[in-house]
Amino acid sequence: MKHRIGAGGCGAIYAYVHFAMEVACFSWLRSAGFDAAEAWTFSLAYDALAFLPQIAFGMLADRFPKLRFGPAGLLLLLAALLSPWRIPAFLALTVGNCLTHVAGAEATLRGARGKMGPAGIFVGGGSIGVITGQLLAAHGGTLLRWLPIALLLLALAAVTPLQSLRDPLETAEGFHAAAPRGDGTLILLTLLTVIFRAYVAYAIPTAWNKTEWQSLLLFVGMGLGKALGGILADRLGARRTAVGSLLLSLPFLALGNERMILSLIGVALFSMTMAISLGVLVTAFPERPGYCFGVTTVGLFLGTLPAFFYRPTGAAQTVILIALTLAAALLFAFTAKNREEDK
Amino acid sequence: MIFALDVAVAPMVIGSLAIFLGIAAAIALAVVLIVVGCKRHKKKKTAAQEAVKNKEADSL
Repeated sequence: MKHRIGAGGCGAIYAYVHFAMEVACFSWLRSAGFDAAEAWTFSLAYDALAFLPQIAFGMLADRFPKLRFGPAGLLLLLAALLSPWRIPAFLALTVGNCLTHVAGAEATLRGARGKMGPAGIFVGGGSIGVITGQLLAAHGGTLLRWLPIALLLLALAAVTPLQSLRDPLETAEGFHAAAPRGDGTLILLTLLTVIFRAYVAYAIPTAWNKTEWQSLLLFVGMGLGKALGGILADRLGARRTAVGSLLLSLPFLALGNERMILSLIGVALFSMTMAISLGVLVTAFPERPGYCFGVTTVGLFLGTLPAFFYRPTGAAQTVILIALTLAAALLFAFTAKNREEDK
Repeated sequence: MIFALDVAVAPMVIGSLAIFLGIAAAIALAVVLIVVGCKRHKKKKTAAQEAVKNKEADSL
């Protein structure tokens, strides 16, 4: 008989794996010695190679659930950190990132028993890893070389037995977050909400963010918001949480340019919908959690892409912030539903 | 004019062009995969519904 890991436990373990992976990726990217022009190109290439192929790897993971993407991804990340060659290391880093993300999302959604909390906890771990990796690159000294490797080895030790404990044929049944719309409509509109939200993240005014401690708080706020969003959606309902948190975030974000506390509350509220988008898709496609996760990562890339060419400032920043946040809230009102609506 | 391209600048231009074309192709492929995944799911769901209907008809 297979042992089962608790939904929350699985989310927590993969939140750590996500954290370790982002520490490895961002400490490497920030310490690879790119000049300004190279940094722009490599950031764009990194986002494209780390986000877009996740749809393909996700579909593969759905089709062949016995494939061990988690350990394979972590081994690739370790190879990237140990590689003396920059381009092969960069490619191993992006593919390792893809595989580890897909494995984490698959395992978390399949073991969640219809709860969005574990997925929220899983995605939340990544935000804290991004800033930790950047700070490590800036101040890590000798730790920069060894800490990411140690974190990845610990993640590998956690993931390898976890995958054999799981029933690979378990589907992600039990989610009740999607309104009764056509499959294509749900995919398209959820993709749009993710694109809007990803681009709006670059329109959030944060003039207060001047020190590294403040940046750390910003990313921690983001991570906590993502985790809390999933947990609250399980208690209050997906639609209520998604629409409420987006609308409530607007005044905090708009007035928080110079006020750190207001802005942090706004950022946490704004980040709450990550797990809900995933919950909406998995409700409609319960046997394809990898595909659903891939759709959201394609949306993340498409929303991030314009920010490489145009980052709004001044009045345009406020207009984009309000317009796209309202549009995302409206789309959630149409695509998400609260659990009690089933009865 | 492409023929007037500075020899020193050419690799950079070609490199940037390759990156942009690669990204455009990857986006197109990702969109195709999203559509294919959605259609496959729909087909499977319809087949399952048909099977249930046939079973019900047989039992009647």
